[in-house]
Amino acid sequence: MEQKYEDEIQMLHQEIEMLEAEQEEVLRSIFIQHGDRLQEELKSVCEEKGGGGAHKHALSKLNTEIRELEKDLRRQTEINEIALNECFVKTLHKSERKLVQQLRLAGHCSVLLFQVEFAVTEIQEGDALLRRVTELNIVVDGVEFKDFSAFVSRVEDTKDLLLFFRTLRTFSERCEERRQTFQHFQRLQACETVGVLAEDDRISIHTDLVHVGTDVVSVVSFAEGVHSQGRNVIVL
Amino acid sequence: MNSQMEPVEQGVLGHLMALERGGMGQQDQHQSERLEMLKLRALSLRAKRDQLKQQTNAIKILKDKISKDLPLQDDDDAGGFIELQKSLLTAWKLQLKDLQRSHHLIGGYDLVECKEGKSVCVSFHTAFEGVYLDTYNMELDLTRTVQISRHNIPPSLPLESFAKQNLQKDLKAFLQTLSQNLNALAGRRQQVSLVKELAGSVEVMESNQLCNILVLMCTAQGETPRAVLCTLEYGDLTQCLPTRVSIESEDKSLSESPQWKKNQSLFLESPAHTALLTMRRMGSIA
Repeated sequence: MEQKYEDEIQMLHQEIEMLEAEQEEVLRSIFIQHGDRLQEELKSVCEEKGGGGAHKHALSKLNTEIRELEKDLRRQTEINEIALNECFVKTLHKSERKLVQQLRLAGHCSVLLFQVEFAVTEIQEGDALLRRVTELNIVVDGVEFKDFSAFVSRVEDTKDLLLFFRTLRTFSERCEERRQTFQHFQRLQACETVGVLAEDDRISIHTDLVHVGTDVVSVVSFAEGVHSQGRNVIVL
Repeated sequence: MNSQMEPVEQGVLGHLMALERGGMGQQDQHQSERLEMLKLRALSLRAKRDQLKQQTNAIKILKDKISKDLPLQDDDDAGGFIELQKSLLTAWKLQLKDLQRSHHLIGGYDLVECKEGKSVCVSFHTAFEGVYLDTYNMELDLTRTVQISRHNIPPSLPLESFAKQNLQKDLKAFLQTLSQNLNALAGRRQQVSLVKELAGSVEVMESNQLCNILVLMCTAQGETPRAVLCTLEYGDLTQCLPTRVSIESEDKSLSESPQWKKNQSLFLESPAHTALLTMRRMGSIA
C-alpha cells in the first residue's frame, strides 16, 4: 500500500519536472518568435491598473522583478562592453546533477557584430560545479582581417569562448582607434598635405617625397608633430 | 504452557507479551500515520501537476493566438486576461534571466552594486580550452577614489602595479588587464595539471606559483632510451604559450636532430600537454 503511494509520488515528481520544463520551453519560444511585438504589449500591460487585488499584487511583483533585471542587464552590458541583442536558450538535458544547454547569442561589441552558438554542460560533483563548452561556432561581421579569421578558427577548435570575447573587446578598441586615426588623417588630407590610404592593419601616408606605412599609435603622435610644424615630409 | 509456569513467570511473561503487543501497536500507528502522510503528499502533488498542466495549456493557447495575430485581450474573461498578462511577464522575465546567464557564461564581470552604490563587486571568470576554471572576486570601493577593498587575486600577480596603471583613469582597462593575466595564469596552471595526468615517461621537474617556467623530463624513444630535459619559459604573462623553449640531453646529437627541432617548435606553438601527446603519437617519446 505504502509502496503504491511512493511509486506514484516519484512519478508525479517526474511529471512535474517535465511540465515545468515544457512550460519554460513554450515561454522561451514565445519570445523567440514574437519578442519585439510582445515588448510593446507588455509596456501597456505594466501600466494597466485593472484586475483584482491578489492578481494585481502578483503582477506588480513580476513588474518589479523585471525592472530590476533590466537594470542589472544594463550594468553588465556597460561593464562587459558586449551588447546581446538575441539570446536563444535550449535545454537539452536537465537532472539533479547535470545540465546541458545550447545557446545562440547575437550582438555587438562596439562596431563588431557577432553570432555565437555554443553548447555548455554543467555537472555538480559534490561541492564543485564542473562546467565546459562542448561546441562552439562563431561568426563575426565588420572585420576583414585575415589574422582575426585565423584566430576565430583556432578559438572554435579549442572551444575557448572566454578568450574569444576578451580578444573581441581588445580588437574592437583597436578598430575604433584605427577608425579615429583614419578620420584624423582624412582631415589632414583635406588640407592637401598628405594622402592617406588605409589597408589591412596599417595606414599608409603618402607625401610628395616619402611613402610610409606604420602602426596606428606612433603615426598619430608623429604626424601631429610634423603637421604643427608645417612641414610636408614625413621621415621614419 | 502458561499453566505449568510459576505465577511470577506468568506475570513477567504476560508483561513481556503485553509490551510486545503494545510495541506492535505503535508500529501499526506509525504505519498508518506514514500512510496518511504519503496519501496527502500524493494528493498535493497531483493538484500541483494538474495546475501545471492547465497553465501550460493556457500558455500554448496564448502562443497560438499570438502566432495567428489574434487579439490577446478577451473582454469576457477578466480573470483569464490577468493570467495572460502573468504569462507574458513571466516569459519576459525568463528571457531576461537567460540574458543574465549568457553574460555570465561568456566570461562577464557579473558586476554587483553593494552598499547603496558605494562599492561594487566584480568576478573574474577563467577558462582554458573550454573548461571553466577558478573564479576570482574583488570589491572596489568607489567613495572618493577607486580603491580595492577586498580580493582573492593570487599574490603572484602584480596587482598593485596594475592598479597604479589603470584603476583611477580607466576601470575597464584595469579589469581587462587583470582578466587577461588571470586567464593566462589559469591556462598555464591547467596545462601543468594536464601534463601530470599524461603519466608515462613525462615528469614535471619544476614549476612555480606564477607558472612562468616549466621543466619537463621525457624519455626519447630509440635503440637506447635517453632522457631529454625540456625547459619552457613563459616570458609574456598574458599568454598561455611559452616564449622560449630549450631542449637538453646528454646525447648532443639528439637535441640537435631535426626531430627534436620540430618538437621544440611544437612546444612553442601548442599547449604543453597537446605537444607531448603529439610527440608520443609520433613515437618521439615514450
